[in-house]
Amino acid sequence: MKQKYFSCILLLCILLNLFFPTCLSSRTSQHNNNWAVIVCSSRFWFNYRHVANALSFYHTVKRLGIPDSNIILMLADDWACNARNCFPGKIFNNKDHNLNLYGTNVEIDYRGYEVNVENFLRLLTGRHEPDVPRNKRLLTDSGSNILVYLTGHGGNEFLKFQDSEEVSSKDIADAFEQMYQKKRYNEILFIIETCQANTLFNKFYSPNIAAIGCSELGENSYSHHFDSSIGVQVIDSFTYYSLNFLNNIKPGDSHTTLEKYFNSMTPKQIRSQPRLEFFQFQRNPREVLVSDFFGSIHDVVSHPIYDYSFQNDNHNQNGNIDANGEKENANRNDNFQLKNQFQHRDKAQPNIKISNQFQHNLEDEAIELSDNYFRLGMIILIFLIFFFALIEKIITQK
Amino acid sequence: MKHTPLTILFFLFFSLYFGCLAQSQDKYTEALTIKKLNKNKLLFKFDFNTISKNPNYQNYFLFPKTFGNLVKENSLEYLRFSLTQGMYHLKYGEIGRYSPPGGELIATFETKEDLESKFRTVSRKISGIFGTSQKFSDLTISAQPFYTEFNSLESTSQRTHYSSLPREPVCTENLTPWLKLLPCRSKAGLASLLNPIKLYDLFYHSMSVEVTRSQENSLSFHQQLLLVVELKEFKFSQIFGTPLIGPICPFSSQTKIQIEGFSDYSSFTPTPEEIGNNQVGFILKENLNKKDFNLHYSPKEKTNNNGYNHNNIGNDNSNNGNDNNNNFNNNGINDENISKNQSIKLNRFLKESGKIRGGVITQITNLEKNDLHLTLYDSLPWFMRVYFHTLTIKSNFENKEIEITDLNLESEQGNESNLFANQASLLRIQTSQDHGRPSIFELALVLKPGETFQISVDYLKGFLNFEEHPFDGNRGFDIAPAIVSMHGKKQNLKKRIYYTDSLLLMLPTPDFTMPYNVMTITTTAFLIWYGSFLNNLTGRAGLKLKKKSKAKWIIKPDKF
Repeated sequence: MKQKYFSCILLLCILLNLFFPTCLSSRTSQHNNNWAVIVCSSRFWFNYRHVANALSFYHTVKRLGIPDSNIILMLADDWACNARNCFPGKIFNNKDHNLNLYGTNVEIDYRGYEVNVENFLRLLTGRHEPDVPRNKRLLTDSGSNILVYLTGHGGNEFLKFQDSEEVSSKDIADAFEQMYQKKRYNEILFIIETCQANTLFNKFYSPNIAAIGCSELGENSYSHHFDSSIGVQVIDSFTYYSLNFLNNIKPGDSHTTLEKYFNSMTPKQIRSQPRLEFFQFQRNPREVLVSDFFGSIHDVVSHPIYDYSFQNDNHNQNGNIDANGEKENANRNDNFQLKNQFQHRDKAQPNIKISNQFQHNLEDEAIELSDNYFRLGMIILIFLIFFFALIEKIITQK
Repeated sequence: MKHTPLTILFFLFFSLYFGCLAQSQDKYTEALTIKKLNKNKLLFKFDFNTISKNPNYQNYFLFPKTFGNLVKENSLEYLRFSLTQGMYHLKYGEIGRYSPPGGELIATFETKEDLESKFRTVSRKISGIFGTSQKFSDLTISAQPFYTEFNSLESTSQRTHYSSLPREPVCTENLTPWLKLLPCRSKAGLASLLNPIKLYDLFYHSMSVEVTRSQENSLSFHQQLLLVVELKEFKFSQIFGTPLIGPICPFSSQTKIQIEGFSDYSSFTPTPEEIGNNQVGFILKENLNKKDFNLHYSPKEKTNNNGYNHNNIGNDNSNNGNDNNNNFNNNGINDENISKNQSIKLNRFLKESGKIRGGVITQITNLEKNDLHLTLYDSLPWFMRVYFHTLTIKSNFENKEIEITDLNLESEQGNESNLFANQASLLRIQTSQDHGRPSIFELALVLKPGETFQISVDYLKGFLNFEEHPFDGNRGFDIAPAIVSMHGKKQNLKKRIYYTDSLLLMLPTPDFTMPYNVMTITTTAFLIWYGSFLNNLTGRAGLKLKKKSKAKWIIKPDKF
C-alpha cells in the first residue's frame, strides 16, 4: 500500500518533469514575429517634416531588423521627386543633410491618394478586396508584435488624412478590437505624433496595447528646426529626440525598456507633455523592451547580391558636388548625427546569420538556469523517495 | 567599391557556365545608345532585351518569372508599362518609341471577351510589382483604342486596353523593382551605371517594360530606359556617378555602346570604332581589359556658358506648333526642320472661357516631304461632356473646313486603303457615361506635306460627386494625352506612336470646408440667441446677505 502510494508520487514527479514546462519563464514576450505600420497622413509640400518623421522611423525599424516584407509604409504625397524639391530624390531629417532618408531601398506600399482612412482601417482589420496585392496587406498572426506609428495633423480625438478626411479615436479603437478578436496581434505599440496626440488613445479598450503620444489635450506638437536650403521644417521634436535615443540601440538589444525610451524625452525638450500608457498589458509594463517592437526576433541580414545601395548617397566622404554646386556636408559632429551602425547598414554584416531561434539573452539564460535548478531539484526528490523506500524496505524486511 | 577577387572569380565561373547555357535557352543583350538630339540635348537609351524561344512557362532562366506567369495566366499577347517623369518634345528629334509623362499601361489580350476584368487583374499585378497606385484600371480612365497600332502584331483592334495616368508620381523607389528584373540586377553590366538618385534631375526620364509574344511562340522582354540630358562635356563618372566598372554581365551575349548623331567622333575618349551595321561605338568585352570604362566627351568647339551655343538660345523658346496667333500661313516645311529629324509637330491645348464650357484643340503638322497617314485617338473623361457635332477640322491649305467622312467602322479594321481614302474620316465615336466611361473619338487623317490640321471639339463641364474630387482637387484634373499613330506605307515610313501634351482641366470645386463653416456659424448664432434668451428669462435679481460678514449688496441671477 505504501509502496503503491510512493510509486504514484514517483510517477507524478516523473511526468511533471517530462511533460510540463517550468512556469518560471514568463518574463519575455511571447511574440514570434514583428511588423510595423508607418503612416504619414498629410499632403502638400509644407508638411515635409511629417514624411521625414515617418521615414526616420522606417529606417530605424529596418536597421533594427524588421524586413521590408513586414513593414507597411504609407506616404500620402510625393516629396522626394516633387518639383519643389531642390534635392531630387532626397529627403533629409536634419539641416546638415547627413542622411538621405529616401535612398534606393525604400519600399512604399501605399502612396498618394491611396493613403486614406478607408485603406488604413482596411489594412488594420484585414478586410481587403480580393485582388489587393500581398505587399499591401498586414499579414499578422497571434504571435505578432506590431508597431503602429502615425504622424500628421490631428486634434482632439482625431487624426487628419490628406488634409480632408479624419479618423477618430473610436475608429482606431474599434479596429484594434477587431484585430484582437481575430487574433491578429500579440502586442501593439501605438506611437502617435500630432497635436493633441494623447487624446487619440482615449478610447482604446483592447488588451495588450501600449501607446505613446507626444502632446496632451490642448497642446501642440512642435517641429524641431527649419532648413533654409529646403525651405520648410525638416523634423518634429518628438521624432528628433526619439531618434537621439533609438540610434544608440543596436539590433538584438535586450536591456533597453520602453520606459527608458519614454523617459529620455522630457516635456521641456519637446515642449509638450508626452504620455505612455499601457492598456490591459499582460506582462509587467516595466519589462517591455524597445526591441520587442522596434526590432525583430529573427536575425536578418541584407544579402550582398540583393543589396542595391550606392556608396555615394549616404555618407559623402569624397565630397561629391551637390545639385546646387555646393559641396555636400561631410560628417559633422556638432548636431545629432546617426551613429556608424546606421551608415554602414547597407553593407553586409557577415557576423549575423539568418536563424529562427530565439535570441539567447542574458535574462533567458538566467531563466533557463533556474529551470534547470528546478528540474534538478525534482530529480533529487525522486532519488530521495527511492532511497527512503529502499531503506524502509530494508528495515521492514529486517 | 572594388570587387574582391572572390567576386571576380564568381563571375568568371558563371560566365563560363552560363555563357554556354544562355545561348541555348534565353538570349539576353544589353545596349546603350548615346545620341545627339536637337536643341542641345543628349539622349542615353538603355536597352535590355531577353528573348525566350518556346518558353514552357515553368522553368525560367533569364526571363523574369513574374512576367512569364503574367502572360500565361492572363493570355496576354503584348504588354507595355512605362513610368515617365518629364515630357519628350518632338523638336528634340526622332528617337523611336517614347512614353507620355506619368504612368502608361497597354495590354493586348488574345480574345475580345472580358477585357475589363482581365485588364484589371493585370494592372493590379503590375502596380504591385512597380509600387505604383492602382488606378490604372479605373473605368473613367481606361479605354480601348481600336485603330492605334502599338506594336507589330497583326490586327490587335478591339483586344487592346489602354490606360494613362499623367499624374502618377515617379521616383527612385520605382526604379529599384525595374532594376531587379534584370538578370544581373544593378551589380554588373550597363545597369551598374544606374544610380537612381542621379537619374532624377534630368529633362526626361522614362523606364518601360515591354513583353511581346510573337506568333512563333517566342517571348521577348524588353526593358528600356530613356534619359534626356543637356549636351555638354560629360563623363560617365559625372553623369552616372560612377564609371563602368567590370565585369560586364556574364549572361549577356552582347554588351554594346552605340554612338549616333555626332559629326565628330574624335571628341570621345576612348575613340569609338566601327561595330557593324553602319554603327559606331564599342563592344564591351568581359572584364573591360581590367580598367574602368569612363567615356569622356569633350566638344571641340569651345562654347561659353556651359555649352550653350548663343545661336540656340533664342530657338529654345520656340513653341511646338504654330504661333499663338493661329497663323496658318507658314509653310511648315523647310530644310532646317528636315535636317532636324522631326516628322510631325504636335500641339494640344484647351480653349476655355469660364467654368461651364470649353474646347480641346489638337494641331498636327506634317513636316515630311510625303503624305502622312495618321490615326488620332483621343479619350476625354466623362466630366468633359463632349458634343460631337462640334467636331471640326480646319487646314491651313484650305479656307473652308475639311469634311469628315463618317466611316464608323464598328467591326473589323478593313484595309488600310479604306481607312485613308479620304482626307479625314471619322473611324469611331464612343459617347461617355456619367461617372463611367470616357468619350472617345478616333480619326484617320491624310496630311499633305506642310499641311497643318486643327481638330477642335467643344464640351460642357460636368458636376462631380463630392467624393469624386481628389484630395488636392483645387489643382485640377489631368487629362491623358492623345495618341497619334503613323501608319506605314510603301515608302518605308515605319509605324510610329506619338503623344501630345497632357492637359490640366480646372473644374469648379466646391468649398470643401463648407459643412464645417456652416455648422460653426449656425450653432454659434443659435447659441448666442437661445442662451441669452434663456438666461434672461430664468434669472432672478435679488439681495443676498452673508450671515457672518457685513451685508453686501450682491445681485446674482440664477444661471440656467
